[in-house]
Amino acid sequence: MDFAYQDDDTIRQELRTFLDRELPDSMRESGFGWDYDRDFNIAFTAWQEEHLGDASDADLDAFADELFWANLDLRTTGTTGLIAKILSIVGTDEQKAEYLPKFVRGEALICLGYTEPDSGSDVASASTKAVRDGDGWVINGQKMYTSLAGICDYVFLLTRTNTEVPKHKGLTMFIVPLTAPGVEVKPIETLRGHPTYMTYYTDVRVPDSTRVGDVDGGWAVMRVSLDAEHSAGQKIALEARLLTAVGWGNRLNHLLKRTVRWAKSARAEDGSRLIDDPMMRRALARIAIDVEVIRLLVGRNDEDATKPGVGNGKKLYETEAYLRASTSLLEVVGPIGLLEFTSGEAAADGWIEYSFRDAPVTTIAGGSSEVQRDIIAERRLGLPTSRRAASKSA
Amino acid sequence: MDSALDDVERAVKETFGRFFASESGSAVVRAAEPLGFDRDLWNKALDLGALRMGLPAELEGDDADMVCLAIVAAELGRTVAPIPLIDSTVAARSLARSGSDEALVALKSMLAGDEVIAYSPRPIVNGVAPLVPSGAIADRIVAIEGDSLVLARVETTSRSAPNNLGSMPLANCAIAGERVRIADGVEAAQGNARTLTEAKALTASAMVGVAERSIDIALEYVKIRTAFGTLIGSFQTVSHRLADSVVDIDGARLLAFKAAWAAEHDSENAAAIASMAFIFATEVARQCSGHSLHFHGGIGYTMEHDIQLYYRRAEAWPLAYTSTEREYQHLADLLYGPSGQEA
Repeated sequence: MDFAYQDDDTIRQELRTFLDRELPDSMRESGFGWDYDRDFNIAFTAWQEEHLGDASDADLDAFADELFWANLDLRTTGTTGLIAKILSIVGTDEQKAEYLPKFVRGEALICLGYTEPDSGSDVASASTKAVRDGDGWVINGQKMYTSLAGICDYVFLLTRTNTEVPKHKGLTMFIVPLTAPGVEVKPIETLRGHPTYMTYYTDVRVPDSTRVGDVDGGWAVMRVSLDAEHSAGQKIALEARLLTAVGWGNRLNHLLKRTVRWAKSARAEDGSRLIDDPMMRRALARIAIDVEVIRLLVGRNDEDATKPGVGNGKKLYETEAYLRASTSLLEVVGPIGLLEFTSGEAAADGWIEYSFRDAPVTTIAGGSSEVQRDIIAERRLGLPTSRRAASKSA
Repeated sequence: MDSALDDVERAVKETFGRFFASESGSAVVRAAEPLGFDRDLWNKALDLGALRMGLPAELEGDDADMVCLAIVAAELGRTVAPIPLIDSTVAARSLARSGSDEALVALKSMLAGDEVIAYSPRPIVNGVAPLVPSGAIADRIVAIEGDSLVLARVETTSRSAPNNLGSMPLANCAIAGERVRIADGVEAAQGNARTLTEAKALTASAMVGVAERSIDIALEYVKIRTAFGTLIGSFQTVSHRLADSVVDIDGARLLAFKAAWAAEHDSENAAAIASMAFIFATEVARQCSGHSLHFHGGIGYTMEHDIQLYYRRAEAWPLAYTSTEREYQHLADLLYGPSGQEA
């Protein structure tokens, strides 16, 4: 075993220099990385490829932290990176030629169209229909929580193409332009102050060349192993590493740093520094432990790391830790923690208040904690699950 | 980072896993209560090289690194083996580092099983080291006294071994006059800090073993026990706690190994990581053994069932070193500087 970790400031300085030069003013003040600017995205994507191509894990941790100091994130490009990776594995040569360059260079964005009003965590019960029509398909239905649809060019759409087979076996994936006639995008405000979207599809016509994977093979496309070695380009492989770097461990570590920095200058009513308050110290120390645990769960490479349910455990732990941390800090900090980042007085630059609003969805999106626990119980512990029993009897 | 066991680590795990499983079954653990010491098992462990392995080759040791010792500690924890291996290992390593003639003679006597020399995490004050974790069976202890680190002989004729929650050989140790100074001043403080770091890292690992076995016991039960006409393992209130438990154990195991590794290779962060591992693994062991006890219902509350052996020790073994609540404050001191020190 070896847990060596080499930290280095070079990446931080290079990123600062780049942002000083390229970041549009519109993105400087807004906070938490939800703003999008296509030209900046293209420049930033090129910068990443140039400066982070050979980066170590420690370099990427430093990159993520520095990005967070600039109140930026990779949230607007995350789904595009994920889908580019899926396409690089299962896409046709034509699809790779048409879409991958745009996605990889940051010229176009694509979002996930999986969830529907009646299918949340049980995503395979999707009912948005795609029906053959000559050389193409006609799509009708609606999707819920199509996050980022307001800034994306395409949606990676999960549709029902067969109702005569078990639910997992009648699904097909398409790449649908959000500008196609019949597509409607409506924002839904969320707790974190940034909208998600409802998307409606009415007689939307797409050619068969937009189908990804086999007809009725959509489940396999969604579940393609993203960890496996394959012929993905260097930038796609980097994108996956970058998404890990801006994951919960580094995010939590940054929340911790912001809070520590603030608590060293902020004063309690009796004039003492907040960092000296034993309750504050306990809360911070607890989060520091969770940061270590998450980094270990993410970085592990032992033989158990790839066993069924272990990845689910990582997702469960990191998002629950984020939720726990945001709540515990808010409650220790008191009234000053309630102020939003737009106030100059906000505790930890508003990161605590924002985290409280941001964290709940992380334990829901991408498979809720309850579903993760079911999967761990079933696949890792060999327990009978009530979920399976219920779907059999249905 | 590389969290995979190498060939040596795998061999250590297999050897000691087999040893504790066959020699330290629950009948042995129960028979050693309330003192919490089985001399026969201790001698067998010494024969197998459990104490020798963490010492340098020039002192008849096997030069094993801390990660290997952590692997052994986890296997010990799995069977809550009634031997003072962690307290003796860290004491022996402290003696070995000092290199003084008296220390090396003491080391030989330890390895031969002629005497038990244990570490005391608390200093000797007015001639007494209070509640030493292996104090009831130690002939000598390694402890801080004043500005020195000393090897001190325990007054054994008047010593009492009070019954305690963890069935451990916990005792106040009065010192019987004879003391050998191992180190003084800064060197003593640093030596003691390192020993405490090692003790916390290895205790964390033992707690991982306690947690793992507790959940194994729970899984065996919930897969055969039925209630309301179905296996209780299918109830989400049970299965979800078990799912959380195995994830927590993953984290605790990796953190305990990292703490052991850091104790040797990362002196800057070793104390903080050991503190984190100690807190986290202890909390996980307490929660896992508590869940496991509870899933058994009333039978889990009986002394007849083995889960109580784990439930008590998950609380008691770490507490004999320090409380996790105090350790949180200590960890904050390490991470953010001592309280009340204006920057």
